[in-house]
Amino acid sequence: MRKMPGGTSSKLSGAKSAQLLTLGLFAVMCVVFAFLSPVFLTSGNLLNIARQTAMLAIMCFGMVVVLIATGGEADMSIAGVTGFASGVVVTLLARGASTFVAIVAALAAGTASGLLNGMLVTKIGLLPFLATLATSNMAQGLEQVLTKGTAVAFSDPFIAHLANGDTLGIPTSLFLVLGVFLVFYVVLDHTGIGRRLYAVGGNPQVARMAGVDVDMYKTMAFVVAGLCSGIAGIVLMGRLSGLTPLAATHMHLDVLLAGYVSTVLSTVGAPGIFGALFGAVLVGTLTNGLAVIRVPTFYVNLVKGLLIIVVVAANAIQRRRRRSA
Amino acid sequence: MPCLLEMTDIRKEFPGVVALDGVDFQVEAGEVHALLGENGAGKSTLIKILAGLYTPDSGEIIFHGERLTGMTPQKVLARGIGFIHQERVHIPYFTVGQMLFLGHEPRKSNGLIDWQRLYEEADAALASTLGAHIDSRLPMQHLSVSEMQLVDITKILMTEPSLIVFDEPTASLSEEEVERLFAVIRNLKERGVTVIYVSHRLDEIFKICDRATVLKDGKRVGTVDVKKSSPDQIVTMMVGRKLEEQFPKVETKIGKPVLEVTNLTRGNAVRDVSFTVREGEILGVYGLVGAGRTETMRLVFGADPKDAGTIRVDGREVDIKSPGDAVRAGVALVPEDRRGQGVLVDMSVRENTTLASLKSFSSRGFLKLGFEGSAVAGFIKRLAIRTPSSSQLVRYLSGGNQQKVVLAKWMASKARVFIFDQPTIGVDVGAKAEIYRLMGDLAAEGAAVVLVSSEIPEIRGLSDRVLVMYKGRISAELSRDEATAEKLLFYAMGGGAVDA
Repeated sequence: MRKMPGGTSSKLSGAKSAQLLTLGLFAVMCVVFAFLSPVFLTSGNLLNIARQTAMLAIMCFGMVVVLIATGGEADMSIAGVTGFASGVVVTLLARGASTFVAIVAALAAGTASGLLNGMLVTKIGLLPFLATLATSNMAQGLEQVLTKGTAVAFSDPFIAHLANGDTLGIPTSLFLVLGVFLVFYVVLDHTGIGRRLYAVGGNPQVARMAGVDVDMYKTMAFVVAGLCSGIAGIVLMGRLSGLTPLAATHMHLDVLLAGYVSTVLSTVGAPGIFGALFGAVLVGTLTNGLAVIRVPTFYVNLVKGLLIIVVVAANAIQRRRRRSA
Repeated sequence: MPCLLEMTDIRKEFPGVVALDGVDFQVEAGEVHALLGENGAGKSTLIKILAGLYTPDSGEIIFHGERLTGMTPQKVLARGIGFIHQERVHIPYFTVGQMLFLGHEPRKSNGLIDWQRLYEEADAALASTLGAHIDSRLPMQHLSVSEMQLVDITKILMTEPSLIVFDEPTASLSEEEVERLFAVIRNLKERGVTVIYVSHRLDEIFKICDRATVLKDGKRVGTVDVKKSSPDQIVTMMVGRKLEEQFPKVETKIGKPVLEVTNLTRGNAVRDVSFTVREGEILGVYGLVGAGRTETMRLVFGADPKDAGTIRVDGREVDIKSPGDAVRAGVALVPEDRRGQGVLVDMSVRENTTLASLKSFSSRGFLKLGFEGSAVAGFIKRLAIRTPSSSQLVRYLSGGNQQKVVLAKWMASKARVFIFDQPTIGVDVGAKAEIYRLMGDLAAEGAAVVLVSSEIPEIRGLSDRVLVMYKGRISAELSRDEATAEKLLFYAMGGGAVDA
C-alpha cells in the first residue's frame, strides 16, 4: 500500500500503534487471567509476580544493552551465565566462604563470561548469536561441574532476604530492580556513554567515523549483560535457597521474549530501559497468569515460542516500513 | 566496414537525472572501440543498457542487423555479446573448471557430471586464451586478480561471442598484467572479435584502440579515429564547452600550514602522497574514479591503516591510528557515503550533531541536555538545516540537509581541518550552493579545507589550489589560475605520462 504524502507522521504513528497494541494486549491478558482465576488479582499473587519478575527484569536490562549496542542482536548466554553465577555463589557458600566473597565471585563470573562474549564478537568477529550460544553452553557446563549436576541446598540470610524478604512491606528484590533500573536509565539517557552505545548499534561505520571506539563499546555491552547475569544468579540462588540443576536455563525463552518486546515498544527500533522493564513485567505476568489458570507447561512453552515469532515479525515489519520511507 | 552494433537515439532517465539524452553509438566489426567520458557522462548506463540490465526509455539497438528488444542479460549473452565487468563475481572455493562450466557441465550418459571431460575441455579452453596458463583444477581463490580476469575472458570466449565489452578492466591490475591483457585483446582482434573498451586512462586508449567515442553529460560529443587524434583533442572533447556555474569564491587570508601530510602510502592505492593545507585555504583534490583520492583521505583520517607517512596538524606530528585519533587531533572527514558513514539515520538531528563532541557537552560524565539542546538549535539556525525540530530522525531529512548535519557534527567538534569527500553527491542545486557557502565560511574562519571532487566546475570554482591524482599518486599541482578543465582532465587521465 502506498503511503500518503507527508509519510513521516504516518510512519511514526505506525510505531505508536504497535506500542498501543502491545499495551492493549497486556491489558487484555490481565483481564482474561483475572476472569479465569480468582487468585490472579489478589495482593499475594501480585507480590509473587513482583518477586518472580525481579530476576527476569535484571536479566532483561542486560539483554537490552546488548540489543542497543549490536543493533538488534540478542545475547543468547544470559540465562546460561545466570545459572553459572548461581552455581558459583552456592558452591562457595556451601564450602564455607563468606557471603561477600561468594557475591563478588558470582559477579566476577558473570563479568568474565560477558568479556568472553565481547572478545569473541569484536576481536575474532564471530556472529553474536554463535558466540553467545557457545558461551551459554560453556557456562551451563561449568555450572554442572561446580554442582556436580545435583541440587545443592544452602540458605544465606542476606541473599535470602534480598530474594524473598520484604523491606518496609515491599519485596526487597524490587528495590534491587529499581536501583539497577535507575543506574541504567541515567547512563543510557543522560551520559555520553549511553549516546555512543546507541550510535554503535545504529551504524557502527558512522560511529567509527565520528571517532567512537566501536569495539570497546560493543565489548562493554556484553560485559554489562554478564554483570546483570551475575546479579540475577545471586537472586536465583536466594529464591531457591540453593540451586536445582539448570534452573536458570528455563528462563532462556523468557529473557529473549522480554528483550524483543522492549524493541517493539520503541519508535526507532532501538530499545530503551523502560521497554525492558515493561517487557519483563509482561513476560512475568504471562508466566504467572498461565500458571494460576493451570495451563500445562508444554502449552506455556508453545505460547511463549509463538509470541517470540509474533514480536520479532512485528519488529521486522516496522523496520521495513521505516526503510521504505 | 559494416556496422556490427548500432545504438541509435538511446534515452534513459532516472528520477531527477537524464543519464542518456539521445545517444548514438556505432561499433564496426573487428575494431577495438574506446568509450570515454568523465564520471557521470553516461558510459556505465549505456553499457548496462547494452547488457540488458537497464531498459532504455527510447531508442533502438541493432546488432548483426537484428533489432534487439526486451533484452535480459541471458538473452544478450545468447546473441553473442560478452561482458567483462569491473567487479568479478566468483565462487572462491569452486575450481577454475567448475567456474567455467557452471550451469552447463558436461554429462555422462547416466546424467552425472563427467568431471574428466569437464577438466579436459576447461584446459583446452584456457589454452586457447592467450597467456592463460592456469591449472583448471585450482580453486578460484588461489588465483591473482589478473588470472581471474583471464578465466572470465575464457568463460566469455566459450560462448563464441562476436563482441566483448571490457568495463575498466585495468583498474586493479599491475603494469605488467595490463600489458598481458593488451596482448589478449590484440589476439581477440586477430581472431575477428570486436571489442568495446571502457576506460579512464588515455595511454591505454592510444595503445590498443582504433576509434574512440566520447560521451559528455549523457550526450555523444563525437567519435574519432585514434591514430589521427591526440590526447589533447580527446580531453577537449570530454571537457566540452559548458557554462561555468557560479561559485561564491570568498577571498580569504591564507595563513600558516595546518595539515601537512608527507609520503603517505598504502599498497598500490596511495603511493607517496605529500601535501600541505593552510589556514583559510581550500585545497581541491581532483581525479577520476579509482585514482586514490578517497583512499588518501581515509588514511589521513585514520579510517584505514597506512603503510608509511607522517601527518602534522598545526606543526605537531600526530599519530593517527583510528578516526578517534583524528577527531582528537582536529581532523574531520565528511565522507562520500553519507548514509553509510556520515549520519545515523535512525537517530535525531540532535544526537547526530553532538556525537563527535559529547565530552564538551558533559560535565562529570553527565550530559548537559539543556546546553546541548541550545547548541544544536544554534547549528540548525546557522547552517539553515531544514528540519521540524532537533528531535527529528535524520532519515526524514533531504540529502542536502543530512549533509549539513554531518557538517554541524564537525563544527561542534571544533575541527581545524575539514576534508570533504564528494560533498555534493545526491544534493539538490539549492543545498549545493549552501554547502559551498559554508565551506567558504569555514575557510574564512581560519580552518583548512580539503575538497575531493570529480566535478570540474566545483573544483575550479572553490579551490585556491588543486592537486590532481592518477593511479594513487599526485600527478600535478596547479594554482587556481592554472587549473583549467583541460589541464585537470589531462593530468587525471595520466596525460603527463603519455607525453613523457
